[in-house]
Amino acid sequence: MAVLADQGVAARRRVAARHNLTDTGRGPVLVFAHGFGCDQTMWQFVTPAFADCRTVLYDLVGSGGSDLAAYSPGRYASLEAHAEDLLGICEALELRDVVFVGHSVAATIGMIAAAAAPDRFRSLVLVAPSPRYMDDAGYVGGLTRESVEEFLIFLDQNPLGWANLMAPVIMGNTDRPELSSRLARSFCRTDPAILSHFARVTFLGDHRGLLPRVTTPSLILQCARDAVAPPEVGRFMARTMPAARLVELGATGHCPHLSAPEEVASAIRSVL
Amino acid sequence: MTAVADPPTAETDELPADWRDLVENAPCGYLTVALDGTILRANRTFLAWTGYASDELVGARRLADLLGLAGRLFLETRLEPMLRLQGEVRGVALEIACRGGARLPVMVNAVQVPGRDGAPDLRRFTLMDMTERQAYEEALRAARRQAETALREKGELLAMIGHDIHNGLNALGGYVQLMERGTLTGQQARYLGIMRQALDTLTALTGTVMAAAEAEAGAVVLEPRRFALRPWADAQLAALAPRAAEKGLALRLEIADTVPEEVEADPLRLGQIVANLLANAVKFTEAGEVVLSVAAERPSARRLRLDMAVRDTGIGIDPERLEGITGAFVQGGPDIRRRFGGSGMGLAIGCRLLELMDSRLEIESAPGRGSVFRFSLDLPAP
Repeated sequence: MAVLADQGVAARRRVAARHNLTDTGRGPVLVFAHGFGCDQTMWQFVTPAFADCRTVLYDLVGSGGSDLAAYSPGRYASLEAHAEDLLGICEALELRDVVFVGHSVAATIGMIAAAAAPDRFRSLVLVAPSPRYMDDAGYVGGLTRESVEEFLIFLDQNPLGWANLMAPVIMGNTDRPELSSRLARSFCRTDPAILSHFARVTFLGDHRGLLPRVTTPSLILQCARDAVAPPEVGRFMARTMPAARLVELGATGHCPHLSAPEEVASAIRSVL
Repeated sequence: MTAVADPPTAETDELPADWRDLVENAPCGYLTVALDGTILRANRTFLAWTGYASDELVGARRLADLLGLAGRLFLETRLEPMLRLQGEVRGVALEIACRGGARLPVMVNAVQVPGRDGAPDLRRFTLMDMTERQAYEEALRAARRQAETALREKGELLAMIGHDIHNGLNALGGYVQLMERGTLTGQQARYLGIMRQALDTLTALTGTVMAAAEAEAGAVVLEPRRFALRPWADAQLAALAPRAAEKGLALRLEIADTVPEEVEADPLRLGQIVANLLANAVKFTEAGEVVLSVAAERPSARRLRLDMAVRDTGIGIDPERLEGITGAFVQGGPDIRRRFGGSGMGLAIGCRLLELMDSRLEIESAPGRGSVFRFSLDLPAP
C-alpha cells in the first residue's frame, strides 16, 4: 500500500515537471489546455472566475515551461501523443468527471482523449476549435495549403519574432508603469524549431473523422471574424458531432479567452 | 514619459509644427490600431510607402487586412496574445500588402497602451522598411543551405573513399595473415608484427572516420526491429571482455525486472553507441568495474522508455570539459590522447546516432570519481 502511494506521488511529480503543472483549488475539475503559439498563461484572465473549482493548467510538451527535452519530433508527429499526455495527467492526478477546456489545436487534443477514454470526461469546452484548418473539397477550413506553407516559411524566416518575445516583461500597474511591481515574467517561451514542427502537426492535420466518435457532451465556442477558425468550421463540427452545442460568441479574433474572458468564463460556467 | 494614448479623434494639427512634422514624416511608419484591429491613425510616411489614401485605411481597414495569410496567422496566434499578455512586442518581421498589390517587408515593434479617460486600450505600431535587410537575410539563408549541402556532399565522398581504403586494408590484412603462418626469420616476424599493429590501428580508424562521414552525410537510416535484449547486451560486454580482463576490471550487466525480453529498436546502431561507451569506460578505468545497466518504464500503454547507462570507476571528466566532450573529435584533455590514444570521434558518432533516435547522451562525472553515461529511448511498447 505504501509502495503504491509512493508510486502515485512519483507519477504526479513526473507529470508536474513534464507539463509545468498548476493544480489549484477544490471542487469540480476543470482542465485547461492552451493552443498553438503560447502556453497556460493564456488562461490567466479566465481562471480567476473558477475559484470554487479545482483548476488544472498545463503546458503542452514543447511549449512554455514544459520539459522541452521531452519533445521528440518522432513522438509528437501527431496530436495523439498530446492526447496521451493529457490522459497521463488525468491518471496521475486521479482526475474524474473532468470538464476539459481546450483552445484551438488543444480542443482537438481534448476530443482525441475523450474519444479514447470517455469515462474520464464530463464535458468538453472547445474554444475556437478546428478539426482541419485547411480547405478541402466541400469543406471550408479557412486556410489554404499555400497559406499554411507560407506560414511555415514565415516561421523559419522569423526566429527573432519568437525568440525576442521571450524577454522578461514588467508586470503590474499599467496606468502608472513607473509604479509597477517590477516583477519580471516571461510569457509563452518557445523554441523556434519545436514551434515550426508543432505548426506543421497543427495546421496540416485532419481530424474530421474523429468528430462522430466524440460522444462526450461538447460546447463549441465560435468567435466572430476568426481568420484561423471561421464560422463554417463551428457549424460543421456542431453538425458532425453527436453531442455538441454551438455557441457563437460576440468576441472577435481567434483568442476570446484573451479578448473577452468574461464571456468565455460564463460559457464554461454553463456546463458545470 | 507616460503611456497614455491620444484620443483617436484628435488631429495632429493640434500639435506644434515641429512635432507634427516628426510624427507625420518620421522615417518610419506609425499606426494606431483599436483592439479589434481597426486602423485609427496612419502617418504620412506609412501612407507614402504603401500607396493608400488616409481614408482608405483609417476606420476602413483592419491591420489584418494589410497582411498576407501567414502574417494574419501570426497575428492571431502570437502577436495578439503577446500584446494582451505582456503589452509589448518587438522585432517582428511582417509583410504589408501595398495598394497596388506589392509587398513591403517591414520590421514591427508594437505596444498596447491604455485609452484615455476609460476608453478601451489602443495599440501602436512602428514599422521600418526592411526591403534591403530582407534580401540580405535571404542571401545569408541561401549561403547556409549551400554550406550544409556542401558538407553533406563532402561526407558522402569521404564515406565512399573510406570504403575503398577499407577494402585495401582488408586485402593487406589478409596477406599479412598468410605471411604470419609461413616460416619467418626473427627480423621478418618483428617487421610483420609492426605491420600488423599499424594495420589494426588503420582499420579501426577508417571504420570510425566512415561512420562519422556517414552520420555527417545524413546517410544513416535506422532499421528498427524486434530483438532479444539480454543476448544483445551480453554480446556487447563479451566484445570488451578480453581488454577488461587484461586490466583486471569487472565487467557487469544489470537488467531491471521491468525490462521486457524483446524491444523494438535498431540493434546495430544501438550496439555502436553502447560498444563505444563501454570501450571508453574500459579504456579510462584503471581499477574497479564497468557496468552496463538497463531499465525500463511504461509511460503509457503504447510506449516503452528504455534507460541505458554505462557506469565506470575511472578517471572521470573535468566539469569544464563535460560541455564540449560530445562534440566531434574531442577528448578529455591534451594529455589524454597521449595516454590513451584514439580519435575521440566515437562519442560524437554515438551522439549523432542518439539524435537520430530522438534521444541524447547525459553525462555525470567528476575527476577521479568515475563517470556515468546514460540515455533514454522512447520506443513502441512490445
